[in-house]
Amino acid sequence: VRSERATARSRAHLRAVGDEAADLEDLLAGVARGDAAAFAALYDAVAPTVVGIARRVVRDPHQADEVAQEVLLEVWRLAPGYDRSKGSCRTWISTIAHRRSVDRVRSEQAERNRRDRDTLRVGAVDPDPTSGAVAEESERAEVTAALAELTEIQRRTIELAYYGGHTYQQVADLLELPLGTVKTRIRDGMIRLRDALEVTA
Amino acid sequence: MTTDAHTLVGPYVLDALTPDEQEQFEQHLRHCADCRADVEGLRATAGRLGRAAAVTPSPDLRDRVLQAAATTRQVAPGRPAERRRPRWLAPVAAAAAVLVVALSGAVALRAERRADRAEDLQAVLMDPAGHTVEVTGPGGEMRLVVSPTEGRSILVASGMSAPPSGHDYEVWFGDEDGMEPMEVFSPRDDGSVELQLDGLPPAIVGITVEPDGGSEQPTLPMVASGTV
Repeated sequence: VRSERATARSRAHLRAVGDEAADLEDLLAGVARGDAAAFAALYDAVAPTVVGIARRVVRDPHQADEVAQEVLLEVWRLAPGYDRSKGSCRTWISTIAHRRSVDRVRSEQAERNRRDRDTLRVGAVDPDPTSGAVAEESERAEVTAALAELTEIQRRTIELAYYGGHTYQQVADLLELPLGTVKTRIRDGMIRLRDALEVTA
Repeated sequence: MTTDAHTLVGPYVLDALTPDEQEQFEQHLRHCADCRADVEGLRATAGRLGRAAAVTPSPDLRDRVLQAAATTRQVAPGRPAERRRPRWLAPVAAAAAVLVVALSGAVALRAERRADRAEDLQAVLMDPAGHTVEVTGPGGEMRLVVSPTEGRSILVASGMSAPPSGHDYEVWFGDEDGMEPMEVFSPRDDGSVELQLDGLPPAIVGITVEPDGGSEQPTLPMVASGTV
């Protein structure tokens, strides 16, 4: 059960998020028309997330930056085809960022190495957070709190899949759980997270 | 696979399915409005997990990205941006590259970088119901590979000259009653073209030279054309 304070914080956050989302949609519309200044402003707003996802999943900072660069360029290239009815600008961009990052680690078959090296490194706390960005700080705090409300298995399966870039079969191997359990725990956990974060697509 | 498919929604939004399962689930999504709604909401949730991982980017990344954007062509408006599944599957890319080369002569596919496209290409090229339309004229010799199953076509060419300065090529599909604009393009530096088009030509495929950015109506004469 969530505390009143968490709910209030979440409401305030939602209002801020709504404003920011509208700004980002405007910027993306500018990018779709080939406006370089709009793209620079969009970069400043979303690059921390794109780089953060790539660093988390890919791990190697050099490779992660390569992936981030590809993702941001892809945002520029595909902006004219962006369909806002399918999700917010931020969701669209982080989806591309995560997929590209996962593609990179899977294609390089670094899976085994990373698994040996980092299995237990996948934590809720970011090792290298943004400095000074208030919006990102409150986001981190809220997500961390929401993750903490999940069951242990829900949280670990989601973190290994999302931040670890593992398939759910690999998650099942790592945690020595049946496949069906992992599948449903991930779904149940994500639904709980969604409700806790009051996410609107 | 209805029951099973519904439970895959969690791993799907976390990109935690194998390519085969992902494809299966995406097929399921086309028919299941419930799952589509779930995906939309849970993707946003996954996005929040991503944003919570935000870090300060390296200072030089900004310049690199903005400079690269300045020399990168954007897609034409109105195309579904997420249709293409990004995948770096080298074996698939290699297989698709072989097929493209076999069909077109000498299209250099940058397999590692564009394997996502290659995967889509492969689906079109492997379509048993597919066929090839010759597209020829003063503009060069091209082929249009048509996949009725995929509902898509691919224009392939090699040794095509660059359009006149301030101009682009544009592809049109149509019949006696009129031509629909499909896509504006320029060949790569090596003259190769490999262009995916959403749709199938009803009767005629044509290529024109248009002012930069393309036109709504074809500027005649066609520099190349073909009949289905």
